[in-house]
Amino acid sequence: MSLHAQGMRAWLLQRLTAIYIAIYSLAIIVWVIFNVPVNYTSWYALFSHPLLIIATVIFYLSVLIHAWVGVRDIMVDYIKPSSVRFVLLTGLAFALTGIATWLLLIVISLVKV
Amino acid sequence: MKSKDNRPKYLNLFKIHLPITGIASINHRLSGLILFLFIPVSLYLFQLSLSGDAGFNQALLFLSSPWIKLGLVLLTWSFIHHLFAGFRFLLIDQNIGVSLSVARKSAWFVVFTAVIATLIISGVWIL
Repeated sequence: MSLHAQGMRAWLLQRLTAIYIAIYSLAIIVWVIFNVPVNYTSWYALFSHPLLIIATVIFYLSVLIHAWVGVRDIMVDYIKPSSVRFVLLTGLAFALTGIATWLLLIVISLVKV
Repeated sequence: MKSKDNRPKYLNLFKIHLPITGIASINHRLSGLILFLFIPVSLYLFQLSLSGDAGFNQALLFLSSPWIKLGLVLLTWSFIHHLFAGFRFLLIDQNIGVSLSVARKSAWFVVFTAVIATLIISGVWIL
């Protein structure tokens, strides 16, 4: 995402990611409800399944995009000095990129087994 | 043009009376910010819980400590409010419930259902 994720593209991305995040989260919650008590074996079996790995990666990427648009909106609305805003937006971008990298490392450890 | 304009501007947040639709909206922002802050915590717990039997139990232990439970209550509210308010905004995007009377009712519904659902879920599963 560029720093200028504004207008129609941001609007659309926010909604598409929202729908995916909602479906994934509710699916995981339903799974937990039907599998109580969850133990390590069942938990690991769920999240190491190739389909769930892909679904989870898409989930976290959606969350990061959704957070970028949302937190950016909040910063643009409430932080007036443009220098402070720029520093915070840059910090946000770095934080989200860092989280994406962390996610990549977790996925590698899951695939490797 | 001699007199200064003395009309109050009311940009003081504590003096503005937000309508219920505004409360649903600002809570949507607040809950979104809380969920954003939870992203790294969720990833940490995700990694820990999949690292092995010991890690899984460690993650459960972490979630059962008193202060974290308070955080979980806040997280539960954030998730439910953000989900419901987000769904309401998607409907409004589709021109459903745009009229003021319906928009007010749906805002009341979202704000209160989120609080009540949080109380129930907290009472039954978290605390």
